[in-house]
Amino acid sequence: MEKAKLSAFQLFALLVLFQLGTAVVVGFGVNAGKDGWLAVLLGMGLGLIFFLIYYTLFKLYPKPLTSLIQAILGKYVGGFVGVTYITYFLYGAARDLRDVGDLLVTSVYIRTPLIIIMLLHIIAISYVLYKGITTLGRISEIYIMVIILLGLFGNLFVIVSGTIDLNNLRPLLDEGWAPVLSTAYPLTSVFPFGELICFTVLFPYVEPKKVILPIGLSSICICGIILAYTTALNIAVLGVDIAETSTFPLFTTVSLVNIYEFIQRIDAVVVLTLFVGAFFKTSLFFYAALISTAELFKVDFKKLVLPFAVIILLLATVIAKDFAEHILEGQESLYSIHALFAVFIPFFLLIFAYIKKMVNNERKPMDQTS
Amino acid sequence: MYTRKYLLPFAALFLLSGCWNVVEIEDVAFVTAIGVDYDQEAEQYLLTLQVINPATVAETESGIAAADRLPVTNFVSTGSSLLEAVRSASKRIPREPFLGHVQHVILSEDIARDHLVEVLDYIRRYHEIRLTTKVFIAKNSSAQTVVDTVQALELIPARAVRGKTQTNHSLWGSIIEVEFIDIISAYKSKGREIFINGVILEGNKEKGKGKENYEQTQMATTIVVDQIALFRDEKLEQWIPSDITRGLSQILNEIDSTIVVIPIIDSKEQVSIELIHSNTSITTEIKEQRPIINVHVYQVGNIGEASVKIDAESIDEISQLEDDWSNKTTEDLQSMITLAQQAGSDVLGFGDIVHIQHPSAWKTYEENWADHFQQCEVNVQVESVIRRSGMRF
Amino acid sequence: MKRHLRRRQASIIHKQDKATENADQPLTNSLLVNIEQIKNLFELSDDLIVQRVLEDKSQLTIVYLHGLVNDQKVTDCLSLFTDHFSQNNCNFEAVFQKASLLGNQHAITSFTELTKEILNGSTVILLDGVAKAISGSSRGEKQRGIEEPTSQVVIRGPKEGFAENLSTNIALIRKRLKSPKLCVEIQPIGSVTNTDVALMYMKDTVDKDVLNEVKNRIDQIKTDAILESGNIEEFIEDRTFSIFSTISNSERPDSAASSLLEGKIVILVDGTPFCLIAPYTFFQAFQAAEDYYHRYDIATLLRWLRFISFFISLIGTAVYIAATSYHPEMIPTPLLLSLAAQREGMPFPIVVEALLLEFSIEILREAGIRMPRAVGQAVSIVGALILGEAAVQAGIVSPGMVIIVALTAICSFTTPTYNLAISIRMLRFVMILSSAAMGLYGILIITIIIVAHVCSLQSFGVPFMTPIAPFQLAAQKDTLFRFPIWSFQTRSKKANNKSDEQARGSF
Repeated sequence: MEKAKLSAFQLFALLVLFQLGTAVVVGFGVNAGKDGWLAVLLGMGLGLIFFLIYYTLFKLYPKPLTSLIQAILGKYVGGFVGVTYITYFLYGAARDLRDVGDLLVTSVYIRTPLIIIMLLHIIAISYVLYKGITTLGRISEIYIMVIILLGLFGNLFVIVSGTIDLNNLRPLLDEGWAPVLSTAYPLTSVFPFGELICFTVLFPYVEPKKVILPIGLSSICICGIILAYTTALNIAVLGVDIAETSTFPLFTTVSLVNIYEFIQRIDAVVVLTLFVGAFFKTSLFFYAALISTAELFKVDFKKLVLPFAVIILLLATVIAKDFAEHILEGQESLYSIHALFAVFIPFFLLIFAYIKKMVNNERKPMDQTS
Repeated sequence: MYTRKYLLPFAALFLLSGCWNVVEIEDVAFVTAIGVDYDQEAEQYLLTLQVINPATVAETESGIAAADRLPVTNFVSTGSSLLEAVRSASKRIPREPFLGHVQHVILSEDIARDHLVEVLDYIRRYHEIRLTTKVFIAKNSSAQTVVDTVQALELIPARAVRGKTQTNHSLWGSIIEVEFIDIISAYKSKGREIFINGVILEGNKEKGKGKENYEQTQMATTIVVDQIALFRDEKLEQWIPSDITRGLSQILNEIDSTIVVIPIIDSKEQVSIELIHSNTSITTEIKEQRPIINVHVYQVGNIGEASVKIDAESIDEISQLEDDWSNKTTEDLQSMITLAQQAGSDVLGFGDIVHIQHPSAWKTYEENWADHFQQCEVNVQVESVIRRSGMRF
Repeated sequence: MKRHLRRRQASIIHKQDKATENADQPLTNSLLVNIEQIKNLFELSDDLIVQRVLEDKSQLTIVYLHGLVNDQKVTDCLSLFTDHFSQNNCNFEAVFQKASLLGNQHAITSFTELTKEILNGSTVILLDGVAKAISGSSRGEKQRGIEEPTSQVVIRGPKEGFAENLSTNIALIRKRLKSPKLCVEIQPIGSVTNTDVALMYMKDTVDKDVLNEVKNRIDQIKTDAILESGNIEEFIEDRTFSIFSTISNSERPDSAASSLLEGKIVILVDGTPFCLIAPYTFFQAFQAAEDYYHRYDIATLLRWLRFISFFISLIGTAVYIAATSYHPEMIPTPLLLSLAAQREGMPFPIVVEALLLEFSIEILREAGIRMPRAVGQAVSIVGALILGEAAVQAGIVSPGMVIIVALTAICSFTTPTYNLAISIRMLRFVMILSSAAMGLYGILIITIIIVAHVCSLQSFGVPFMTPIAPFQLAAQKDTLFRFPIWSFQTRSKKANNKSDEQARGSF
C-alpha cells in the first residue's frame, strides 16, 4: 500500500476510463445482433450486482484484495488464491496491452512490429505507475475530459454526416430474447464490468469511504448507457452484418464520416480513444497486480514495476499467435478465466466471509459465558 | 533519479525503433482512381492505377502551363488476385502506391458479372481503401478505357467523375451515389440487392487518352455518369435505362431535384415541371401470407416551362396538372418496379422494409425473397403539389 | 533539493574572505587605529572616501563609499559640521544629534557593523577617543525610475513595473494593498553580496504550511552571491530537474498584489525588477494580468486562444510531420496534393527540414534578444522574411513547413508567462523527434508521459495541475474560464488547497 489518497472525482474518472476503455472500440455486444445494445444494458445490470459484491467484501474487510482474501481464507489458502489473482491481473493487463497493439498494427502501423508498439506503451505506463497512484488519479482527471471532448465531437460528426439509419436497429428482438440473454452473461457483463474486481485494490485509498458505493454504481450506469449507445450507433450506421464482422466497429463507423468533403478521415479520434482507454485499463490491472504482490510478499511496489512490465509485455506477445486467436481467446476467456475471477471467487469469498462472521458472532457470546 | 537512469535507453529506443512505417510524402504515389478489368483468357485481373503527379497539380491549379502536362499517369498491372495486382504495380510505379485517397473504383462489366464478391472482399480487408470510395461500372467499354480518358475543366479525371456524379445527383437524379459501404451492406442484407452507377463513354473512345481530347471546344470523348446496373445475387443482371432510374431514386428518397415533362392529353403540347421536394414512405402488409407493398410519394414542384398557356390563377387547371403529374410519376415508378421484379432483383429494399414491419412473416420469405419479390403486389400512390408557376406569368 | 543545496554550500564556504575574519572586532578608542583598520578592510577600494572634517581634538572623520551615497546629503552634513563644531565643542552626543540630518542615525561599535553600513551606502562618522561610531543613512545610489514592464505588456491596466530598488518595489505593492495584514520580512542573503530579500504575504490568507516551507527553504540557502531572483528560485524550487518551473515571476506590481490577495507568497530581491511568486500552478501560466481588466467574455476567449496556441506551439510541427510521413490518409485529398507538390524534389527528409527550421528560428530568437536593440529589429526582419523566403525559393525547405514552424514560434509567444514558454520550447524538439520516430503514436506516448510528469509535480505542497488535477469545482471560476469578477466574492483561494484531501468542493 502506498500512502496516497484518491478523491471521489478521481475514483469516478478512473472507473469511467476503465470501463469504457477498450470496450467502446472493440465490437461489444454484437453477438446479440441488432439488440446488442439491450444486451449491454442487461450486462450493466449484472455489473451493478458484481460491484455490490466487491464493495460488500471491502466493507467487511477494508483491505486491498490479497490481504482481504487472506483474512477470509487464512494465510496459506488465501495466499494461494491471492497469487492466482496476481496472475489474473497480469493477464488482464497483457490483454489490454495487446488490444491497443493490435488496433494500431492493423489500422496504421502495418509494418511496425507489434512488440515495439506495446513496448512503448508499457514504458509510458511503468513511468506513471512508478510515480504512484496519486499521479494516475490526477492524469485520469485530465484524460476523462479529453475523452468527453472526443466523444462529443465524434458523435456530433457522426450525427451531422447523416450516416445513421435507425432502420438498421429494427425490428426489435428479431431473434427473441435468447441471444440477448446469452450475450448479457458473460459477454457484456463480465467484460468490462466484471473486471472492476481490480478496483478492490484501490478502494482503501478512496477518501471519504462512503462515496465508493454511489460513485461506483453511478459510473457503471453511465458507462453502461454510453456503451449501449455506442453499440446501437455502430449497428445503426454500419448495419448489423458489417458491425458483427468488423474488428473495430467504432473505427469503421467513424471512418464513414464525411461532411462536405471537409470533415472526413477523423479515424484518429477512435485510435486516440482506444489508446487512452487501454492505457488506463492496462495501468489499473498492472497496478492491481503490483499492490497485490506488494501486500502479499511485503515488498516495495516500486521495485516490482520493472519486472512486472517485462512480464506483461512478454505475456502480451505470447498470449496469441495472431489477432484472430487473440479475439477468440478474449471471448472464451470471458466464460472461463474472467468469469472465475470476477464472479465466482468473489461470490464464494462473500459467502465465506458471512459464514465466518456468523461463526465468530456465535462463538463470542459462548466465550463470554465460559 | 530512477527514471533518469532509464531515460537515455528509452530515448534511444524511441528513435531507433520507429520508422518502420515512415513514408515521406514525396515518396508516395497517390492513387486517385482504379479501374478493374478481368482478362478472361489469362484469368487475371487487369488493374489500372491512376496516379496523381502532385507537381503538375500545383501548376494546373495556379494556371501555369495548365494543359502542357497531364496531372495524372496511369499504370497497368496484372495479377491473379487484386492484392497481387496492386503489389505487382510497384514494378512500374517509381513511388509507393497509396490507396488511401482513391476517389472511385471503376469496375468492368465482366467484373460486375462474375467477380464482384472478390472485389468486395479485398476492399473489406484492405485497410487503406476507404469504405466511402465511390464505385462505378463501365458500360460498353473496359474500365481501363474509362480511367484513361481525360476531361476538360477538371483535368484530374477523378474530380471530373466526382463532379459529374454530384451534379447529376443534385440536378437530374438519374443516379444515386453508391459507395463501397452501401454495396457491402446490400450484399450482407437478404432483403436488398446491389445496384451500382454506370459510366459511359460517348464519342470516339480512342481519342480520350491525351490532351487532344480537350484541345477543341467539343471533347472527342465525354464521360457520362448515367444509368444504374441492377444485380441479382451479386451478379450484374441488367442495366436500368436512364429515364427509369429516376424512379429508383425517387422510391429510395434519394432525389433532390429533376425535370419531369408531362404531355398534355390529346395534344402535342407539354409542360415541364421542376421537382423540388419529394418524400416517399413505404408500408407493407401481409395478406394471405403474401406481402403487399404500398409506396406513397408526396412530391412538390414548380412549373418550369410550358408550350401552352397555363392560367396560374385557375385552381382547376393547376389541379388537373397535378393529377397529370401524379399519373406520370406513378407510371415511371411502376415501370421501375416492374423492371426490378422482372429481373428478380430487389434493389428497392422492399425486403428490408418487410423485415422491419413484419419480422415474424419475414422469416418465411427470408430464404427465397427474390421469388416472393417477383410476385408481390406493389401499389403506388402519388400526391403532387404545384407550388409556383414561374416568375413572369 | 536539500542535497544540491548542500553541494553548492560546500564549494562556496571556503572562499569566504580572509579579511572579514578580523573584521569582527570592536572599535577602538584611537581614531588612527580605526581608520587604519577600515583602510585594511577596504584595501584597494579607491572609491572609499575617508575625510577629516575637523582638525581639533575630536578629529571628526567621515567615511563613505563614493557613488553609493547621496552627494548632496553628505555635503550638507559636512558644512553643518564645519559650521557648528569649531571650538572643541565636538563630542559624541552632539555629533549624534546633528547627524540626524542624514537620517536614521545610530551608533555602532564593531567593524562588522561598520563595514556593513558603509557597503549599504551609509556615511560613518568617527571621533577620536570614542570606541563608537555614528552611522547615518545617506543612501543615494543612482537608480532607474519606474518604467513600463517590458516582458509583460498590457493594453489596459497599470503600466508600472518593478524597478531594481527593493524599497521602491515594496512600496509599489504596499500602495496597492493598503492593509496592515500585509507582512514584509526582509533578510540579507549571500555571504558576499548581502542581498536583501523580502518575503511578502497577507497574514490572514496565506497558508501557514506553505509559508513555513518557503521560510525554511530560504533559511537553508548558503551561498556567497544572490544577484537576481533567478538565483533564489533555483535554490528553493521543488524539483530542479524538471523541465517545468514551479515558481512564477512577474515584473508587474499589480500581478504581485493580486497573487498576495490569493494567499500566495511574493519574494522580492534587491536589485531585481522581478518578483517571485509561490506557490505556482500550471494554469496560472495562462492567466494574464489583463484578464481581470478586460470584460470576462473576451478574457475567457483570449484565455482559450492561449490554450490553443499552447498546444499548437507544443505539437504543431510534430503533428505535421506525423500526418505527412505516417498518416497521409488523415489529410483531405486537395490539401495533401498541394503539400505533396511542395515537397516534390526537396533535398531533406521532412524531419530534418523541421529541425533545421526550428533550429534557425531559435537562433533568430536568441540573436534578436542579444543584439543591440537598434539592430535587433532588423535582424528579426531579415531572418524571418529574407531567410525564410530565400530558403523556400532555393528549394531547401518547403513553404508548408515554413508556415508551420513560424506558426508554432508565434504561438509560443501568446503564453503570458515566459517560464512555461521556455519549457515548451524545449519539449517541442522532443515532440518532433518522437513523431518522426513513431508518428501520432509517438506524440501520444510522449504526451502521456509529460502529463504524468506535470501531474506529479508540486509547488510548495500544492499539486502543479491544481485545480484540474486534482479537480476543484470552486476554483473553476478562474481556470479554463474567467467568470465575472463579482462572482468571485473573495479572491480564489486555490493556493491554499494543499493537496487532494483538502480539495474542497470537488465533485
